Amino acid sequence: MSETKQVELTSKDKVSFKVDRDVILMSGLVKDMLEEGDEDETPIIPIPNVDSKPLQKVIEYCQYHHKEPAQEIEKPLKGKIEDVICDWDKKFLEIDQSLLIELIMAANYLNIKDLLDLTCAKVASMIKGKSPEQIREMFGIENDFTPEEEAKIREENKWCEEA
Amino acid sequence: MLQQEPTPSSAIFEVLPNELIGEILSHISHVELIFNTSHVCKCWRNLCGEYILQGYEKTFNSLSENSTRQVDLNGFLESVNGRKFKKYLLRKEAFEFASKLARNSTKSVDIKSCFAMERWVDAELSILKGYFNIFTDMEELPMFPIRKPTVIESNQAPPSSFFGNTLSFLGSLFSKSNNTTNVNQTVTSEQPPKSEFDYLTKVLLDGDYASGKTSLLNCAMNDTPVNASMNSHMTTIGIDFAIKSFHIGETTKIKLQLWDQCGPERFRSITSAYYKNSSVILLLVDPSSEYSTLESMNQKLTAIKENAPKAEVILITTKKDQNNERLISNEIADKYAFENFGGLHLDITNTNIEEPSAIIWYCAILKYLLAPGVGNKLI
Repeated sequence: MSETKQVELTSKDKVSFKVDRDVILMSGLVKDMLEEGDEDETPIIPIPNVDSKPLQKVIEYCQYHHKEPAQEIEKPLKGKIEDVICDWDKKFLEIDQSLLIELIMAANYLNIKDLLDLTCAKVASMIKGKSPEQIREMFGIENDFTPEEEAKIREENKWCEEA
Repeated sequence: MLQQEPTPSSAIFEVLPNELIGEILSHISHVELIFNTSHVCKCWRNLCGEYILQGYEKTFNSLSENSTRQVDLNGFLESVNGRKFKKYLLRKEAFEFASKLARNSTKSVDIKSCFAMERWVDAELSILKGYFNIFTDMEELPMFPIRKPTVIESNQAPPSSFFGNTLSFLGSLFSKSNNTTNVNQTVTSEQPPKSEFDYLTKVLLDGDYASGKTSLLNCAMNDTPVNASMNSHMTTIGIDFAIKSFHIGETTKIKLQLWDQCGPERFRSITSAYYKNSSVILLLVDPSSEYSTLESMNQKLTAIKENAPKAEVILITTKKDQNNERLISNEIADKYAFENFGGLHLDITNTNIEEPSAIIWYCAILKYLLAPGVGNKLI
């Protein structure tokens, strides 16, 4: 029992990662799979939806946080995300946008709630305080409102006070 | 933060399923969802709509009897309740910011000046101001503009509104009062040395006998909380008064006068004059007192609306430390404030100074936020 049991994860691009069993139990998905599986040897779990790069980050996150549970991030986010998370998480989030988005999907797929919260809050923090134009530009979102609809939306917000 | 990030590969959000975009949006406050995030695109608007309506239901619909599930965001935001909800959310956001300021502020030795000068203050204040600025038809508070906003000097047109406010205010005084000399005195005495303050706001304490008005004044303005073990009550005779200045960020200075009037009607002779110039009226209610009924609150509110139709009202239930049996629950008070003036209800005790201080900070920044035509326009 003293020996730490390991699990092997295989990413979409066929890269394998050996991880301590109790580390990767943070993933709800892996936990569910392991409970049914054989306990004796190192089980191989394919993660067909996640590339090696985000998977590596996920493992990094689990290795740090399985002993040090992350503090819950309050909703809605107050101020910037950097004000509410630990230094380790701040460093962890210094990644580019596409990896961040992949990480969100990986966290969702692997069912790691704390990581999903952290990454989603990070994106929310990027959205906060920006105008719709800036948000569209930042994430390459197309504005699909017709000019009439836009005018209507702007109009509706003018009516704030009671009549 | 963003500058460090490489230029985004386009259409990153297209790969995210809606429920994950929703997950992201759930971290954003309702105010921002309504005024900003929901304007990005149709898909986001639908997702935002769900959160906004959920938030509304959670806050208020559970309290009202004839609630029907609103599904259309446009329809909801234009409805009376939707408008009230927006008004309420903005004030809630402002109050949260004020509480944060109160926690992080420092005071001068004589505690007559408060300072919140940290770096984040200006940035957050200007975002908040941007939301308030959206409402071009928002009713203005009675204004005492002391220093002209700098914009005006470069432009000939705006002064009409600036002087217009002052003049119409003066006009309203003249029309209701025969004693012209008195009026002149009042106005001049309210102007502290120029360039020292940007805004002057008057806050009036209102409420029944022994509802905690003087305690709130002592607590918030003089840092002397009520000693819970002492069960004494001093009746204010006539009017009491305190003044404090607030330095918010690099740019904004607000001077706040807090007027405390006596509870019992028999001492009141000059009340309407105090109502008239108030920007904010704090309506205090002791929820355990037999005098506090919805009816008495209605009476007070009618008087306020008559004498100061433009003032912001904040409903405050006091003495929460005493755990008395309450005749007015927090839920009822929340609902009452929302339905009657789309405003805030706060449950406090005057035995600490944090809660009353936050209220006073809120009154101060509200003046700035509701002032027309200053600050950065975000949208």
